[in-house]
Amino acid sequence: MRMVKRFSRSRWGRVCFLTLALSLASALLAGLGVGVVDQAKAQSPQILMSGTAIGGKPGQSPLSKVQFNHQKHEAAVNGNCDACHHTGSQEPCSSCHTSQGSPEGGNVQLSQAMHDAKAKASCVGCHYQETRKPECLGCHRNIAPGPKKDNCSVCHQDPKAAPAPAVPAQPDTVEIGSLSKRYGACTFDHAAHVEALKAAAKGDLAKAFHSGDAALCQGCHHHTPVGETPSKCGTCHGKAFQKEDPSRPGLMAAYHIQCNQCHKAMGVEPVAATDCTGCHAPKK
Amino acid sequence: MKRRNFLGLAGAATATVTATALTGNAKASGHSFEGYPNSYGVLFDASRCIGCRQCEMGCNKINSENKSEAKPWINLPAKDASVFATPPAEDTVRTDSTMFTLVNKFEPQALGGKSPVYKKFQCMHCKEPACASACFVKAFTKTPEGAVTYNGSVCVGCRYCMVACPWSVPTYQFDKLIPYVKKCHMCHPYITSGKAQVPGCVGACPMEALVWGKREDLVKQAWERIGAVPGKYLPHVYGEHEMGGTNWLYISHVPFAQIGLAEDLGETPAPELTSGALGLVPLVACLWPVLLGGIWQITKWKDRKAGEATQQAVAEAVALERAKAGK
Repeated sequence: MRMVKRFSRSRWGRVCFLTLALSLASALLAGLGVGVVDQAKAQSPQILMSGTAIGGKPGQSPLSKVQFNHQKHEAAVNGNCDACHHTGSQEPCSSCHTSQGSPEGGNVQLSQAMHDAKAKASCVGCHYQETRKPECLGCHRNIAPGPKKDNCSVCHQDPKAAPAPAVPAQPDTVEIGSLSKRYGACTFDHAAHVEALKAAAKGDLAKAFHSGDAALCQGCHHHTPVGETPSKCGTCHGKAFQKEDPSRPGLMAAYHIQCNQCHKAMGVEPVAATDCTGCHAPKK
Repeated sequence: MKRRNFLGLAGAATATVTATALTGNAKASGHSFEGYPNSYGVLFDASRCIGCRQCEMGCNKINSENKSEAKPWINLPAKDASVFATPPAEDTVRTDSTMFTLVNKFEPQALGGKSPVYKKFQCMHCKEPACASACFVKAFTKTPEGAVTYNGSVCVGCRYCMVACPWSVPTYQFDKLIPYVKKCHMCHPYITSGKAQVPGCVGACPMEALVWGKREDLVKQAWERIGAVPGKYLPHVYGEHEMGGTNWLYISHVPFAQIGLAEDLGETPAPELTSGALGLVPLVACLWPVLLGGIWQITKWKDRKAGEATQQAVAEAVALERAKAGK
């Protein structure tokens, strides 16, 4: 009886000591900084965000749920939760931004809160800002901010969707001789340009959104579906200022706009744009 | 002031005010000119121009070849290849009499003053040209095709056009014995004769920074480009409304004032600024002589009547006095 009593007293003592130590440690951590505690409150890495239709009931949607990797986003904003949780509280977005909109969320619907291209805290707005880096601008310079009508599935991925198509066979060099009456033909190093684009798009963000390397081809071959062998530029770009589509550039302009504007946007100008003979060998 | 003088002046003033009101109405009906429908123009996109000056070469080529062109004509000097390496400095904004068009390099503050932006400059081909309204021999014509053309055979060399132009476009051959005014004609003679499909500069542009088309389509296309990538361009089509609208249009990703295009010109067509005052001239010239002549005639008639009455009264008085004295 006495032994039992002593044993139980010592166990209580240990519990008390542990409790004291833990509370001291947590007080110390709290003193060190709230951010550390917030990060310690680990989120599950993958969050499934519902693809609720606008104004619909939660979970009812024709769209697949978005797989949102909270950990990677935490790392991307350097642990600054306020980058997305703009009110300072860590409540889920949908607590204020309901699918129908509520006064607490400024009547901004959940779908708007996710897709607003101008808001800093929205998915689309923040990702658009990411595409403003020089290494992305070559292709992304002419892509307007905001969701496009045919690319919902980029984020709302069907888990059973087919894997990204393979990159079709491609030439190492391409001879461009459209101006051969006035200049020598240009030898375009296709392989080097593909490698440069691959190097520019090697980050996690680009990998997550580019559906494989085949997507990089679309930067230049802009109307070719991913994974298909592109047709020649001259198929669509013929003479300039045609009545059917006056805004479609002619072949000469299509090449020059593509080359010059991409090089300028990416900040890669081995030849000055004003130096014709830098690309076009003078004709002898 | 005598009462009749005052009444006369008041009458003249009333007549003039009425005349002004009439002219005002005439002016209002006259300036609803919306430009010729289906007229052609060019859209310049500053974000596309790379400053290669092929447009200048294209202009020189088409305009130098035409030796058979009736007077006045010039052989624009072909530029040597070195111009590609050294785009002109910012201070050479204007064309001179040896050229119709000129590409200038700017380093606008909007891009941090480091990145170059190029602008091609030439006649804007106003819908209601100031040069044509200032010219008293009708040497300038606004053609229904959109171009403003110059006929040197009637030009007297007064150079009013050069003063009138808000963009200082017309130039003068000060070095010639028989000088002419020089300015871009949008290749009007070549296009109407079928020698060229598009102006020389437009055909030479490798970037399609110059787009040829009907003005109304170009305005639409310009706004489409502005709307396609929000934030890329400034939401303004230069020339859509400037000075009543021009057939040469500009869109840009930097403020127009920073690439040498004045933004303080207003939207009033230049002829409208003077048409009110000038419209009064014939009325004043016709009305005032008639009116004042009439007042003068009436005054004279009244003076004569008064004189006659006085003379009669004097004669009567004298006759009366004589009759009294004769008694």
